[in-house]
Amino acid sequence: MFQPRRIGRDNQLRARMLFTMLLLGLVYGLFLWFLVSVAGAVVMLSIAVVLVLVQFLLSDKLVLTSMRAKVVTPEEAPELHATVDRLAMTAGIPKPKVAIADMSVPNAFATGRSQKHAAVAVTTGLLRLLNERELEGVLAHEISHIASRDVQVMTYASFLSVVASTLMSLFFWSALFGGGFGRSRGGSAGSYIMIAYLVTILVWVISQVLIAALSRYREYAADRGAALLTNRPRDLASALQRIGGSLTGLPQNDLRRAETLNAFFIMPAIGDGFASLFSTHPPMARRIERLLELERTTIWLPG
Amino acid sequence: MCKFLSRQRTGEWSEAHEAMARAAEPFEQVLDTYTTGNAGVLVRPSEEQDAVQAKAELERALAHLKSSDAPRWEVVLDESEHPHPWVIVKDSGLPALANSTRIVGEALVSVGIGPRVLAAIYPFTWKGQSIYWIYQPRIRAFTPFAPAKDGEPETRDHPLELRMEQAARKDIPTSRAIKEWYPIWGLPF
Repeated sequence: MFQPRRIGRDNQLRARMLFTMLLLGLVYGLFLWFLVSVAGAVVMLSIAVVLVLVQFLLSDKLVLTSMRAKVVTPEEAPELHATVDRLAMTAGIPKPKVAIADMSVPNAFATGRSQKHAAVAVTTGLLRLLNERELEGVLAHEISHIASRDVQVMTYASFLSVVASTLMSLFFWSALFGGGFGRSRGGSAGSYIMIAYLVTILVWVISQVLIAALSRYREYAADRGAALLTNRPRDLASALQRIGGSLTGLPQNDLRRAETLNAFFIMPAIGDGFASLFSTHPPMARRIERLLELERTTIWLPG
Repeated sequence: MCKFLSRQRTGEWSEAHEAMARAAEPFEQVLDTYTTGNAGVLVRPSEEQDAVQAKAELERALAHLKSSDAPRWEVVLDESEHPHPWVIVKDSGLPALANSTRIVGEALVSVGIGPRVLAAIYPFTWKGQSIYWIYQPRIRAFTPFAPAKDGEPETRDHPLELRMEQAARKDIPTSRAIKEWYPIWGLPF
């Protein structure tokens, strides 16, 4: 597979990804062992496997449908197709399907179980918001998600987390209706179920945190990939800035008006640190900063 | 004693502008950033004042600085919805300009106008683009402001602002909290 390698790999990012995946594997391994030996939940496990498999095989269609995105032909969107075509060729992957979702929220996503069954979708809001070069930056980000098989990686990574959440709801409903699982079999079985329930919740929470971390690393990697594909990190940075204008917290109101408002907004924003553990995307400002760092250290030359 | 007190009250203001004066060399030689020779001190009129009264108050407060070797300054009103008075300071070269701006601010503090000083604005040019460093006494730090070069009105070049902050961090006290990076549109100078 052709991989552009003009800029060196980010070894630190790779190491962090690997470490996160190892941790996730460890948590899952322990959980599997626990499920089979303690709860004996083989049936539940196989149901969850089937669910995840179906979801995986149909992922492109499911995602496109749920986002109300419509696949468009080159005749319907010639410029979009031309850009995707060019980027896919540079990245060395088959050209993905191109879809447009009629939504005013500016957004873009990539989906598909393999590089051959991939799709790139953008919202009409994004098309309106960005200029040509910024749009190319965003498309390059999505193309590099496909090139690095991120949909597959995230599916594998979230597999047992899905199992855990399925089990959680099963435990919950069986406890609610008092049937089959617990009380009828007496005290000790009941407490086993209670422990199983707690372990399942714990696995779910830990895996969510790890999956979110992995996802954040892959976002950085895709930003980097986009920079490699277009050679212009600044365009993606400027696109991110536009998309997240209000998200980054950059004040939109003039200092003279802000000063009178400030009295009402003395309370600092709270919960930032904890919420960021579960966030699947890194903070916009950090991504922009990294892109600009990349531009400054490798491509951008003064003068 | 009195002098010590007033130094304490203007301490952060003075240090920030002294840092700006020292930053002339890295700004020009490393960052290719040049002062326009002006700086502006933005003041909020008090509750019971209109803009014209606020302007007169500033002129009175600075009257003693009118001599051949004192900072050159004038007070103007901007054209915002509720006009604000600005003390515009002129001097050639960043060290002299920052020094004059420091003296003007200290004079305002000494007559009790200090709490109403919203900002000091230093315009610069970088590769033909206007960029600004805004000192906000409230947060005791400079924040970057870069209007988009050929953009629609009131759009900012935020990527450039991020680069400005990264580049100037070691020379002047900056704030990394993006939520403090307020724009100031329609400068009267």
